[in-house]
Amino acid sequence: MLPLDLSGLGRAGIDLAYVVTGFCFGFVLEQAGFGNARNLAAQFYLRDMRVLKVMFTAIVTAMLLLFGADVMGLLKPGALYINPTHLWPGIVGGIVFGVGFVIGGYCPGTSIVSLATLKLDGLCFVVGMVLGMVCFGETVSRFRAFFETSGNLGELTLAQVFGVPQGLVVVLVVAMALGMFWAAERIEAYFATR
Amino acid sequence: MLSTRRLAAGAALGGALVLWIIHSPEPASRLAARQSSLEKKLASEEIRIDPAEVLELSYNPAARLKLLDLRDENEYNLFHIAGSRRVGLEALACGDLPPLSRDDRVVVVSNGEGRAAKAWLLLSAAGFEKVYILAGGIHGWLKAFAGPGVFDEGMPKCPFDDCRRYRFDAALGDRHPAADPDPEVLTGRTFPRKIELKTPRKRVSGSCG
Repeated sequence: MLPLDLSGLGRAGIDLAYVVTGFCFGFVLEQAGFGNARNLAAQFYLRDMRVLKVMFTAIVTAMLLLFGADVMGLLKPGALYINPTHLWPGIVGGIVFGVGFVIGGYCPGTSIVSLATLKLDGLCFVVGMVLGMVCFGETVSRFRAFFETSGNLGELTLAQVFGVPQGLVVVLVVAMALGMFWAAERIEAYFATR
Repeated sequence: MLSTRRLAAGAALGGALVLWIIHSPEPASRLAARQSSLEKKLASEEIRIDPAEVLELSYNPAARLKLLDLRDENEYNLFHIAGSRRVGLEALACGDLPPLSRDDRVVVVSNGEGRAAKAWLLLSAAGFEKVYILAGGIHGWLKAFAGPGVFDEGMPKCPFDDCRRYRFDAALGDRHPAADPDPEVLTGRTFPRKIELKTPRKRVSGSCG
Protein backbone atom coordinates (compact mmCIF):
# COMPACT_ATOMS: atom_id res chain seq x y z
CA MET A 1 0.00 0.00 0.00
CA LEU A 2 1.24 3.51 -0.88
CA PRO A 3 2.95 5.54 0.41
CA LEU A 4 5.71 2.97 0.87
CA ASP A 5 6.89 2.35 4.40
CA LEU A 6 10.62 3.05 4.29
CA SER A 7 11.23 2.50 8.00
CA GLY A 8 12.76 -0.90 7.23
CA LEU A 9 15.62 0.83 5.42
CA GLY A 10 16.88 2.48 8.59
CA ARG A 11 17.91 6.12 8.97
CA ALA A 12 20.77 5.90 6.48
CA GLY A 13 18.61 4.05 3.95
CA ILE A 14 15.86 6.66 4.16
CA ASP A 15 18.41 9.47 3.72
CA LEU A 16 19.80 7.64 0.70
CA ALA A 17 16.27 7.35 -0.75
CA TYR A 18 15.93 11.15 -0.42
CA VAL A 19 19.26 11.67 -2.20
CA VAL A 20 18.36 9.28 -5.04
CA THR A 21 14.90 10.87 -5.46
CA GLY A 22 16.40 14.36 -5.44
CA PHE A 23 19.08 13.34 -7.95
CA CYS A 24 16.47 11.85 -10.30
CA PHE A 25 14.31 14.98 -10.00
CA GLY A 26 17.25 17.26 -10.76
CA PHE A 27 18.36 15.00 -13.62
CA VAL A 28 14.92 15.20 -15.25
CA LEU A 29 14.84 18.99 -14.85
CA GLU A 30 18.28 19.27 -16.45
CA GLN A 31 17.29 16.95 -19.30
CA ALA A 32 14.20 19.11 -19.90
CA GLY A 33 16.53 22.08 -20.34
CA PHE A 34 15.50 23.70 -17.08
CA GLY A 35 19.09 24.30 -16.01
CA ASN A 36 19.32 27.08 -18.59
CA ALA A 37 17.80 30.44 -17.69
CA ARG A 38 17.27 31.34 -21.36
CA ASN A 39 14.95 28.36 -21.85
CA LEU A 40 13.01 29.26 -18.72
CA ALA A 41 12.74 32.99 -19.39
CA ALA A 42 11.59 32.31 -22.96
CA GLN A 43 8.33 31.07 -21.44
CA PHE A 44 7.48 34.64 -20.47
CA TYR A 45 8.14 35.90 -24.02
CA LEU A 46 5.98 33.05 -25.43
CA ARG A 47 8.82 31.87 -27.69
CA ASP A 48 9.45 28.57 -25.90
CA MET A 49 6.61 27.01 -23.91
CA ARG A 50 8.56 24.05 -22.54
CA VAL A 51 8.02 25.13 -18.91
CA LEU A 52 4.27 24.94 -19.36
CA LYS A 53 4.51 21.65 -21.26
CA VAL A 54 6.87 19.92 -18.82
CA MET A 55 5.05 21.15 -15.71
CA PHE A 56 1.60 20.20 -16.98
CA THR A 57 2.89 16.83 -18.21
CA ALA A 58 4.22 16.25 -14.68
CA ILE A 59 0.90 17.35 -13.15
CA VAL A 60 -1.16 15.11 -15.43
CA THR A 61 1.17 12.12 -14.95
CA ALA A 62 1.26 12.44 -11.16
CA MET A 63 -2.48 13.08 -10.97
CA LEU A 64 -3.37 10.03 -13.09
CA LEU A 65 -0.99 7.75 -11.17
CA LEU A 66 -2.24 8.98 -7.78
CA PHE A 67 -5.88 8.81 -8.76
CA GLY A 68 -5.35 5.41 -10.38
CA ALA A 69 -3.64 4.12 -7.22
CA ASP A 70 -6.57 5.44 -5.19
CA VAL A 71 -9.13 3.80 -7.47
CA MET A 72 -7.29 0.47 -7.25
CA GLY A 73 -7.11 0.70 -3.46
CA LEU A 74 -3.32 0.98 -3.47
CA LEU A 75 -3.20 4.42 -1.84
CA LYS A 76 -3.67 4.59 1.90
CA PRO A 77 -6.69 6.87 2.43
CA GLY A 78 -5.80 10.12 4.12
CA ALA A 79 -2.09 9.66 3.47
CA LEU A 80 -2.03 12.35 0.81
CA TYR A 81 -1.23 15.69 2.35
CA ILE A 82 -3.44 18.48 1.06
CA ASN A 83 -1.70 21.79 1.49
CA PRO A 84 -4.17 24.21 3.12
CA THR A 85 -5.33 27.02 0.84
CA HIS A 86 -4.29 30.47 2.04
CA LEU A 87 -5.89 32.57 -0.69
CA TRP A 88 -4.33 36.01 -0.31
CA PRO A 89 -0.86 34.84 0.73
CA GLY A 90 -1.03 32.52 -2.30
CA ILE A 91 -1.79 35.42 -4.64
CA VAL A 92 0.94 37.64 -3.16
CA GLY A 93 3.42 34.74 -3.15
CA GLY A 94 2.55 33.89 -6.75
CA ILE A 95 3.23 37.46 -7.88
CA VAL A 96 6.56 37.60 -6.00
CA PHE A 97 7.50 34.18 -7.39
CA GLY A 98 6.57 35.13 -10.95
CA VAL A 99 8.43 38.43 -10.85
CA GLY A 100 11.50 36.70 -9.37
CA PHE A 101 11.24 33.99 -12.05
CA VAL A 102 11.18 36.39 -14.99
CA ILE A 103 13.92 38.64 -13.56
CA GLY A 104 16.25 35.88 -12.37
CA GLY A 105 15.40 33.31 -15.00
CA TYR A 106 14.99 30.50 -12.46
CA CYS A 107 12.64 29.13 -9.88
CA PRO A 108 14.08 27.61 -6.68
CA GLY A 109 14.52 24.03 -7.91
CA THR A 110 15.88 24.96 -11.33
CA SER A 111 18.40 27.36 -9.78
CA ILE A 112 19.83 24.42 -7.81
CA VAL A 113 19.97 22.39 -11.04
CA SER A 114 21.77 25.28 -12.72
CA LEU A 115 24.22 25.54 -9.82
CA ALA A 116 24.86 21.79 -10.06
CA THR A 117 26.09 22.36 -13.62
CA LEU A 118 28.34 25.17 -12.28
CA LYS A 119 26.52 28.06 -13.97
CA LEU A 120 27.39 31.46 -12.54
CA ASP A 121 23.87 32.86 -12.90
CA GLY A 122 22.57 29.81 -11.02
CA LEU A 123 25.03 30.52 -8.19
CA CYS A 124 23.93 34.19 -8.03
CA PHE A 125 20.26 33.17 -7.95
CA VAL A 126 20.85 30.65 -5.14
CA VAL A 127 22.81 33.21 -3.09
CA GLY A 128 20.00 35.74 -3.57
CA MET A 129 17.42 33.13 -2.67
CA VAL A 130 19.24 32.21 0.56
CA LEU A 131 19.55 35.89 1.50
CA GLY A 132 15.84 36.36 0.81
CA MET A 133 15.01 33.35 2.98
CA VAL A 134 17.08 34.76 5.83
CA CYS A 135 15.42 38.20 5.53
CA PHE A 136 11.98 36.59 5.41
CA GLY A 137 12.73 34.35 8.37
CA GLU A 138 13.92 37.31 10.44
CA THR A 139 10.88 39.47 9.69
CA VAL A 140 8.07 36.93 9.31
CA SER A 141 6.74 37.59 12.82
CA ARG A 142 5.57 41.05 11.63
CA PHE A 143 3.22 39.63 9.05
CA ARG A 144 2.55 36.18 10.48
CA ALA A 145 -1.15 36.98 10.86
CA PHE A 146 -1.41 37.68 7.14
CA PHE A 147 0.23 34.37 6.22
CA GLU A 148 -1.64 32.22 8.68
CA THR A 149 -5.16 33.60 8.75
CA SER A 150 -5.73 35.77 5.68
CA GLY A 151 -7.99 33.87 3.27
CA ASN A 152 -7.40 30.61 5.13
CA LEU A 153 -9.81 28.23 3.41
CA GLY A 154 -8.38 25.03 4.90
CA GLU A 155 -7.68 21.84 2.98
CA LEU A 156 -9.55 22.57 -0.21
CA THR A 157 -9.68 20.62 -3.45
CA LEU A 158 -11.12 21.56 -6.85
CA ALA A 159 -13.78 18.87 -6.45
CA GLN A 160 -14.94 20.52 -3.21
CA VAL A 161 -14.91 24.04 -4.69
CA PHE A 162 -16.99 23.11 -7.72
CA GLY A 163 -19.06 20.41 -6.01
CA VAL A 164 -18.26 17.82 -8.68
CA PRO A 165 -16.80 14.29 -8.43
CA GLN A 166 -13.03 13.91 -8.18
CA GLY A 167 -13.02 11.82 -11.35
CA LEU A 168 -14.60 14.61 -13.37
CA VAL A 169 -11.93 17.05 -12.12
CA VAL A 170 -9.24 14.60 -13.27
CA VAL A 171 -10.81 14.37 -16.76
CA LEU A 172 -11.18 18.16 -16.99
CA VAL A 173 -7.58 18.81 -15.90
CA VAL A 174 -6.30 16.33 -18.52
CA ALA A 175 -8.49 17.97 -21.18
CA MET A 176 -7.30 21.42 -20.09
CA ALA A 177 -3.64 20.32 -20.27
CA LEU A 178 -4.12 18.86 -23.76
CA GLY A 179 -5.83 22.06 -24.90
CA MET A 180 -2.97 24.12 -23.48
CA PHE A 181 -0.37 21.93 -25.21
CA TRP A 182 -2.18 22.42 -28.51
CA ALA A 183 -2.40 26.19 -27.98
CA ALA A 184 1.23 26.37 -26.80
CA GLU A 185 2.48 24.82 -30.04
CA ARG A 186 0.62 27.44 -32.05
CA ILE A 187 1.78 30.30 -29.84
CA GLU A 188 5.40 29.12 -30.15
CA ALA A 189 5.10 28.94 -33.93
CA TYR A 190 3.60 32.44 -34.03
CA PHE A 191 6.16 34.16 -31.77
CA ALA A 192 9.22 32.26 -33.00
CA THR A 193 9.16 34.28 -36.24
CA ARG A 194 8.81 37.68 -34.51
CA MET B 1 -0.80 6.79 -38.96
CA LEU B 2 -1.26 8.16 -35.47
CA SER B 3 1.65 10.14 -34.07
CA THR B 4 3.13 9.26 -30.66
CA ARG B 5 1.83 12.56 -29.30
CA ARG B 6 -1.73 11.83 -30.30
CA LEU B 7 -1.49 8.34 -28.88
CA ALA B 8 -0.20 9.70 -25.56
CA ALA B 9 -2.93 12.37 -25.47
CA GLY B 10 -5.60 9.77 -26.23
CA ALA B 11 -4.22 7.41 -23.58
CA ALA B 12 -4.20 10.17 -20.93
CA LEU B 13 -7.73 11.30 -21.69
CA GLY B 14 -9.06 7.75 -22.10
CA GLY B 15 -7.34 6.66 -18.87
CA ALA B 16 -8.85 9.59 -16.98
CA LEU B 17 -12.32 8.76 -18.30
CA VAL B 18 -11.99 5.09 -17.30
CA LEU B 19 -10.76 6.03 -13.80
CA TRP B 20 -13.67 8.46 -13.39
CA ILE B 21 -16.17 5.75 -14.36
CA ILE B 22 -14.81 3.09 -11.98
CA HIS B 23 -14.01 5.46 -9.10
CA SER B 24 -16.12 4.82 -5.98
CA PRO B 25 -15.60 7.49 -3.33
CA GLU B 26 -18.06 6.04 -0.78
CA PRO B 27 -16.48 4.65 2.39
CA ALA B 28 -18.51 1.44 1.97
CA SER B 29 -16.76 0.77 -1.36
CA ARG B 30 -13.36 1.66 0.08
CA LEU B 31 -14.04 -0.60 3.02
CA ALA B 32 -14.47 -3.60 0.73
CA ALA B 33 -10.89 -3.15 -0.48
CA ARG B 34 -9.37 -2.94 3.01
CA GLN B 35 -11.81 -5.00 5.03
CA SER B 36 -9.45 -7.81 6.06
CA SER B 37 -6.60 -5.59 7.26
CA LEU B 38 -8.95 -3.24 9.09
CA GLU B 39 -10.80 -6.09 10.77
CA LYS B 40 -7.53 -7.31 12.28
CA LYS B 41 -7.00 -3.90 13.82
CA LEU B 42 -10.62 -3.75 14.91
CA ALA B 43 -10.13 -6.92 16.93
CA SER B 44 -7.28 -5.37 18.92
CA GLU B 45 -7.75 -3.62 22.24
CA GLU B 46 -5.62 -0.66 21.15
CA ILE B 47 -8.56 1.07 19.50
CA ARG B 48 -10.87 0.74 22.52
CA ILE B 49 -10.52 3.51 25.04
CA ASP B 50 -11.78 3.51 28.57
CA PRO B 51 -14.59 5.96 29.49
CA ALA B 52 -12.24 7.49 32.07
CA GLU B 53 -9.67 8.25 29.37
CA VAL B 54 -12.38 9.80 27.17
CA LEU B 55 -13.44 12.03 30.05
CA GLU B 56 -9.83 13.00 30.70
CA LEU B 57 -9.22 13.80 27.03
CA SER B 58 -12.41 15.86 26.83
CA TYR B 59 -10.75 18.38 29.15
CA ASN B 60 -7.63 18.60 27.00
CA PRO B 61 -8.09 20.80 23.88
CA ALA B 62 -4.86 19.42 22.42
CA ALA B 63 -6.56 16.02 22.13
CA ARG B 64 -9.00 17.42 19.52
CA LEU B 65 -11.60 14.94 20.74
CA LYS B 66 -14.76 14.42 18.66
CA LEU B 67 -17.48 12.09 19.93
CA LEU B 68 -19.77 10.54 17.32
CA ASP B 69 -22.87 8.84 18.68
CA LEU B 70 -24.25 6.11 16.42
CA ARG B 71 -27.41 5.33 18.39
CA ASP B 72 -31.01 6.00 17.34
CA GLU B 73 -32.41 9.47 17.81
CA ASN B 74 -34.65 8.46 20.71
CA GLU B 75 -31.73 6.81 22.54
CA TYR B 76 -29.60 9.89 21.90
CA ASN B 77 -32.36 12.17 23.20
CA LEU B 78 -32.73 9.99 26.27
CA PHE B 79 -29.10 10.43 27.22
CA HIS B 80 -25.88 11.38 25.49
CA ILE B 81 -22.39 12.40 26.48
CA ALA B 82 -21.97 16.18 26.52
CA GLY B 83 -20.42 17.42 23.31
CA SER B 84 -21.21 14.30 21.31
CA ARG B 85 -22.84 14.51 17.90
CA ARG B 86 -25.31 12.00 16.54
CA VAL B 87 -24.60 10.47 13.14
CA GLY B 88 -26.35 7.65 11.33
CA LEU B 89 -24.47 4.55 10.24
CA GLU B 90 -26.23 4.70 6.87
CA ALA B 91 -25.05 8.27 6.33
CA LEU B 92 -21.45 7.26 7.07
CA ALA B 93 -21.71 4.36 4.62
CA CYS B 94 -22.89 6.76 1.88
CA GLY B 95 -19.98 9.08 2.45
CA ASP B 96 -22.02 11.71 4.27
CA LEU B 97 -19.29 12.35 6.81
CA PRO B 98 -19.54 14.93 9.59
CA PRO B 99 -17.07 17.83 9.41
CA LEU B 100 -13.91 16.25 10.80
CA SER B 101 -10.26 17.05 10.41
CA ARG B 102 -7.69 14.30 9.87
CA ASP B 103 -6.03 15.49 13.09
CA ASP B 104 -9.17 14.99 15.20
CA ARG B 105 -9.34 12.04 17.55
CA VAL B 106 -12.71 10.52 16.85
CA VAL B 107 -14.41 8.31 19.42
CA VAL B 108 -17.41 6.38 18.14
CA VAL B 109 -20.13 5.54 20.60
CA SER B 110 -23.05 3.11 20.55
CA ASN B 111 -24.98 1.32 23.30
CA GLY B 112 -22.40 -1.47 23.37
CA GLU B 113 -19.80 -1.70 20.62
CA GLY B 114 -21.72 -3.11 17.63
CA ARG B 115 -22.61 -0.03 15.64
CA ALA B 116 -19.48 1.72 16.88
CA ALA B 117 -17.35 -1.06 15.37
CA LYS B 118 -19.07 -0.64 11.99
CA ALA B 119 -18.57 3.12 12.16
CA TRP B 120 -14.91 2.57 13.10
CA LEU B 121 -14.47 0.47 9.95
CA LEU B 122 -16.15 3.06 7.72
CA LEU B 123 -14.22 6.02 9.13
CA SER B 124 -10.92 4.13 8.98
CA ALA B 125 -11.63 3.15 5.38
CA ALA B 126 -12.37 6.82 4.64
CA GLY B 127 -8.86 7.71 5.77
CA PHE B 128 -9.31 8.77 9.39
CA GLU B 129 -6.45 7.26 11.35
CA LYS B 130 -7.25 8.42 14.87
CA VAL B 131 -10.55 6.64 15.36
CA TYR B 132 -11.37 4.85 18.60
CA ILE B 133 -14.29 2.96 20.11
CA LEU B 134 -15.65 3.87 23.51
CA ALA B 135 -14.99 0.65 25.44
CA GLY B 136 -18.31 -0.80 26.53
CA GLY B 137 -20.20 2.00 24.75
CA ILE B 138 -22.79 4.07 26.58
CA HIS B 139 -23.33 1.09 28.88
CA GLY B 140 -19.68 1.28 29.91
CA TRP B 141 -19.94 5.05 30.36
CA LEU B 142 -23.03 4.79 32.56
CA LYS B 143 -21.47 2.01 34.64
CA ALA B 144 -18.46 4.26 35.19
CA PHE B 145 -20.18 7.56 35.92
CA ALA B 146 -23.96 7.26 36.43
CA GLY B 147 -24.17 5.53 39.76
CA PRO B 148 -26.73 2.84 40.60
CA GLY B 149 -30.24 2.69 39.13
CA VAL B 150 -29.53 3.88 35.61
CA PHE B 151 -27.84 0.89 34.00
CA ASP B 152 -30.26 -2.03 34.16
CA GLU B 153 -28.62 -5.46 34.07
CA GLY B 154 -32.06 -7.02 33.86
CA MET B 155 -32.89 -5.66 30.42
CA PRO B 156 -32.37 -8.12 27.53
CA LYS B 157 -28.88 -8.32 26.11
CA CYS B 158 -28.40 -8.59 22.34
CA PRO B 159 -25.28 -9.24 20.19
CA PHE B 160 -22.39 -6.87 20.92
CA ASP B 161 -24.51 -5.54 23.80
CA ASP B 162 -25.93 -2.97 21.37
CA CYS B 163 -29.52 -2.90 22.64
CA ARG B 164 -30.41 -0.26 25.19
CA ARG B 165 -29.99 -1.40 28.80
CA TYR B 166 -30.51 1.84 30.69
CA ARG B 167 -33.52 3.72 31.99
CA PHE B 168 -34.20 7.41 32.41
CA ASP B 169 -37.46 8.94 33.58
CA ALA B 170 -37.36 11.54 30.80
CA ALA B 171 -35.36 12.44 27.69
CA LEU B 172 -32.55 14.24 29.46
CA GLY B 173 -29.99 14.40 26.65
CA ASP B 174 -26.84 15.86 28.16
CA ARG B 175 -28.61 17.32 31.23
CA HIS B 176 -28.02 14.23 33.34
CA PRO B 177 -24.97 14.60 35.64
CA ALA B 178 -23.38 11.54 34.04
CA ALA B 179 -23.37 13.29 30.66
CA ASP B 180 -20.66 15.68 31.81
CA PRO B 181 -19.04 14.21 34.91
CA ASP B 182 -16.82 16.28 37.15
CA PRO B 183 -13.22 15.39 36.27
CA GLU B 184 -12.61 15.03 39.99
CA VAL B 185 -14.18 11.57 39.70
CA LEU B 186 -10.98 10.47 37.96
CA THR B 187 -8.89 11.17 41.04
CA GLY B 188 -7.31 7.94 42.18
CA ARG B 189 -8.90 5.96 39.35
CA THR B 190 -6.54 3.84 37.27
CA PHE B 191 -7.29 2.92 33.69
CA PRO B 192 -5.31 1.73 30.66
CA ARG B 193 -4.22 4.74 28.60
CA LYS B 194 -4.27 4.20 24.85
CA ILE B 195 -3.65 7.72 23.58
CA GLU B 196 -0.33 9.45 23.98
CA LEU B 197 -0.56 13.13 23.19
CA LYS B 198 2.45 14.46 21.34
CA THR B 199 3.22 18.01 20.34
CA PRO B 200 2.20 18.13 16.67
CA ARG B 201 4.93 18.93 14.20
CA LYS B 202 3.88 21.41 11.58
CA ARG B 203 3.73 19.78 8.19
CA VAL B 204 5.66 21.46 5.44
CA SER B 205 4.70 21.52 1.83
CA GLY B 206 6.98 20.89 -1.09
CA SER B 207 8.20 23.41 -3.61
CA CYS B 208 7.45 23.64 -7.28
CA GLY B 209 10.88 22.59 -8.43
